[in-house]
Amino acid sequence: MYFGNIAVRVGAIQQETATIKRFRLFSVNGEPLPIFGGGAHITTIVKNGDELLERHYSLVSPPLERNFYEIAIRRDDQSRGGSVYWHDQMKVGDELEVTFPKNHFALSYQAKHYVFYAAGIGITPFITMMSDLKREGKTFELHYAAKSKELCAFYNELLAAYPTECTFYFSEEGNKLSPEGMQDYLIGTHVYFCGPPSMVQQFTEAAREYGYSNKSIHFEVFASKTFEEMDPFQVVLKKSNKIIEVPEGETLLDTLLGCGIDARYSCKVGGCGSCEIEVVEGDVDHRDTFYSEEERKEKQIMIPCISRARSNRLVINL
Amino acid sequence: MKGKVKKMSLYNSPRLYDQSKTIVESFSVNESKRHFLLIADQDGIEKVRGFLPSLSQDTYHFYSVGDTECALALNTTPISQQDFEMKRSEILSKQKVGTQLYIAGKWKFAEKIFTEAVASGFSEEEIQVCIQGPKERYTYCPSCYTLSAIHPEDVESQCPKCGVMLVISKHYSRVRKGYLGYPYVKQ
Repeated sequence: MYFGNIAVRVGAIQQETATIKRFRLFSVNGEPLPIFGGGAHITTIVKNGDELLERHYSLVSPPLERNFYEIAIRRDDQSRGGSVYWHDQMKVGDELEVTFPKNHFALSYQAKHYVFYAAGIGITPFITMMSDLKREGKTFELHYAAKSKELCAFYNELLAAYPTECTFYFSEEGNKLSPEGMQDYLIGTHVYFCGPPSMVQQFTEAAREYGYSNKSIHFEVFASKTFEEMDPFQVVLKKSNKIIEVPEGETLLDTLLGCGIDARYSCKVGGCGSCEIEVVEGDVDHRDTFYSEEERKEKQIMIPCISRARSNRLVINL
Repeated sequence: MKGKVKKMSLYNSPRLYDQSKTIVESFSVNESKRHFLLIADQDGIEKVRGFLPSLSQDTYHFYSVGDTECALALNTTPISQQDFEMKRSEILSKQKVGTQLYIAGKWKFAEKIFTEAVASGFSEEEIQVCIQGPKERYTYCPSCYTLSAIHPEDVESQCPKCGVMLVISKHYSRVRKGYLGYPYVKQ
């Protein structure tokens, strides 16, 4: 029985491609790990000196597998250092904590047919989704873009498990993934996108243009869009009347946490809505991908892990 | 632990009921869609007649059910009731994404098409329904699990099967297909 986080040990490390490693994690106490649904992820918590690295990774092990979890991580020199640590420092036998599986990217039960569009490491949530759908006898397709076959993670596994469902696009061969095919699917088709923010945005806009309802468009981004301007602003906490200054380059969520305020959060890239807070006063610069334009107009809310103030000052209901 | 896991079926199919958000007084164009499918019985044909000019001719198809001689405009298929019953599922399931469905007619006619449309993959946002005549309303008795018809204005009723008095709640159960009734003892 688990309470809080789960203590795990790295049991195996496999070089999947030149830039992607796969890590197999076993529970330290030997108890079965919780099962999860397709699209789920865990947050890994690793100590790097004085720094605590919390990073979210999609699970790629079979959803019903309780002996171990697997995650696949792409080494990114431009990241905040989590992937570099995993690639360069983590070794078999190392212990860490992970959260229970969470899922902000679940399969919709209303879909009649599922179409997945993946780019690069964006393939990872679809691994478990396809496993679930195959087991349930539902129809799906995967369109997966990578630079080349050698850099295409899970290529052989996918071809073996889903030979008729997978189409690969290797840009080095001049074969590019395009959203145009989406317009010919039958009613009841749900589309799922995972990859770089620019790819997700392009495909989401195309799906809306082709008339997909909002409920049939699903996406997950692993990193937020890069926003150049992160100007400082002031925030008043209405309940305590406390004034805090959000410095340039820091998110409101990180500022709140740094002040010892127990603010809820999960993804930290503006995608899950867990950190939503009520805005009492002020103009919000919405940068999240969680709320629709209509919801932003109807509700006085903001996603503090990514959104900021358009005015100099916000009053929030904390 | 590997092996069979009992699949939990999450029941979430929308139902057509008197307060459904899909029911409208008159149709409106859904600007986000590329294609429009209209289906009306002879009671609903006037609603469609008034709406068709809002649509470009190459974007819609209209099935006029029950009158094989009717031809309102181009892209109209007059079809007998019997033929429509046989082809209804095929007509709905072959639609592409980006289709908005408009249904006009009596309650029973609309309900069958709505149910089939949802089974084919239409979401509620993609369906508009204009009901001609009275809407049907049901209450569910938790004592004997019976569904019974009620009038739109009813706030209480007596279960026809077990006789218990019910206060009709505002909660519509998609599982039970009726408004939940709360039993009470009449003084």
